[in-house]
Amino acid sequence: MSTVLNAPSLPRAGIGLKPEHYREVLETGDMDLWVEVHPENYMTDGGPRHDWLTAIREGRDLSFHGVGASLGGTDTLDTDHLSKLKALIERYCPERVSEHAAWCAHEGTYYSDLLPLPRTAAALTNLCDHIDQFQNGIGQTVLIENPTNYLPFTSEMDEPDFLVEAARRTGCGLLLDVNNVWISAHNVGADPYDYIRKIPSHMVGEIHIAGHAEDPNLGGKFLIDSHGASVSDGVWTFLEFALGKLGPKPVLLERDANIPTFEILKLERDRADAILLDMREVSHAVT
Amino acid sequence: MRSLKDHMELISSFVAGQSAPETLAPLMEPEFDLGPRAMVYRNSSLSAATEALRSNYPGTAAIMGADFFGSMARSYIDAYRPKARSLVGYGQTLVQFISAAQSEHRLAWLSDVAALDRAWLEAHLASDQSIMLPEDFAELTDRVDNVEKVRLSFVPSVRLRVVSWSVFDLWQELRKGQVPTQQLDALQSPEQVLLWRSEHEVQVRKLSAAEYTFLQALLEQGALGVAAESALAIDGNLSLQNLLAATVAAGLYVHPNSKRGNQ
Repeated sequence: MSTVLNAPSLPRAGIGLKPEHYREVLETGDMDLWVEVHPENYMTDGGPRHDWLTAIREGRDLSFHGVGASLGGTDTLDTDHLSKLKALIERYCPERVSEHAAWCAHEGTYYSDLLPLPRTAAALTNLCDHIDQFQNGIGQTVLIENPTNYLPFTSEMDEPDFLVEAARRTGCGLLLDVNNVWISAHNVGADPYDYIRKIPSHMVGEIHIAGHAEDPNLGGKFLIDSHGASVSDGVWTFLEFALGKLGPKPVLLERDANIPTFEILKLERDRADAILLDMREVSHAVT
Repeated sequence: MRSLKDHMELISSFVAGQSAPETLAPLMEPEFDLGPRAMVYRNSSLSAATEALRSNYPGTAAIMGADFFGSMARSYIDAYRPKARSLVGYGQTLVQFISAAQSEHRLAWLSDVAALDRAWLEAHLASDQSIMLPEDFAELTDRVDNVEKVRLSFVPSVRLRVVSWSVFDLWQELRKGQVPTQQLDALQSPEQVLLWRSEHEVQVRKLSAAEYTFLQALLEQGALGVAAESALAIDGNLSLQNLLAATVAAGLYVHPNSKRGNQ
């Protein structure tokens, strides 16, 4: 039997959980469907969303994908945010916790977007210091996601080297968003396949896929990470390449705008799941 | 190459709309033509904050329409950028902001619609707590010498609001997605509104002035006797027995063994 089949749990595909789909997710019989949430949306005193998440989490894998830690920022980590996140982790015990190699706050103001870092030695040191503090604060390792690049900021190293070095120094893992790699390569000119080849498989704990859009003014020359459409054919092919290179990993389908019905979203998730299941079959056949 | 701090100063200033895209040029590879590309960061930031306001104030957004609300939201975001890393409760001061801008929008009742949206959101997000059931209330009143001295605490989701204009019915329609197509005729006539969460859903009810006075007195930690006296001074025909029974049945009060104040 292959290593993959001996793994404690075979990686499957999940979806970003939206309130519109709470009931359908709770009632679906597919217990291999795992869900991911932004913990910031659950940083409330109480309310129905916690009731839903508690019920959905029962018997189903869950991951937390944070957007507010600003690990790449120069501000000190927000202790209020960190303590709320820790409380949620203790409450829901997610299988994975992830964040971004980006920043979203500066001098106390939250900019509600993931803003770009320069890939410099100073930025890397700052990011690693914050990852260390973050991991100590929440008491577990975190996966760090590659950003979407829109502009060619002056840098001292390429992105795979930057992220791999951050993982090596801090012990964190990586969340590889292949849609982000695809968009970044298109927007700033890089080889997405070479990017994947530079990422060690053992560092990757999760993969994201999502849809993107062409810029309304610049058209196909400039792609936007909209999370508002189906995954493009190019990204599906790229996902297969990435999984082939990295081995089976949990794959998460993100959708944050133009949210379709649960049935439509699940069909798209099932396509990703089928790729993972095919990998199991191949692995089994060659063993 | 600019320092990391300079990098963030330039980008945050640009994202906040305080500087032009060209100010980012020193951060780019040489010879790169920025064009309109940098706007993606400013637009994404603004869009996320605007959507949070739209989600937190759905009735207000519905009556204002997308363009009007978007314009107002942009002004608000410029003035009150988020501080917390979660946008779930963002827009704490939007009601006051809309009220202060009345000379511009000329809709005197608009801030009342926003106030009800805000109260609904607060009720929706409030912490959970065990409620006092009718049998708990009966037991409580049985074991005290003087019921008038009993003090009741509301569950955390309870909100009492007074609006200056008669917008309650309009607001309820807006929450259902029904936007009036005719001229609005809200009257400058105060309405008292109770909001609370029961069975995972926010409940709303319009109150009479006497009912409101009774509940407001309880909210201020007044004893039942004091609250009753205040309410009866407004409406001598108010049935306090019915009001108490209805509010206990609605799950407004904290279980006697719980420790929690109210708001």
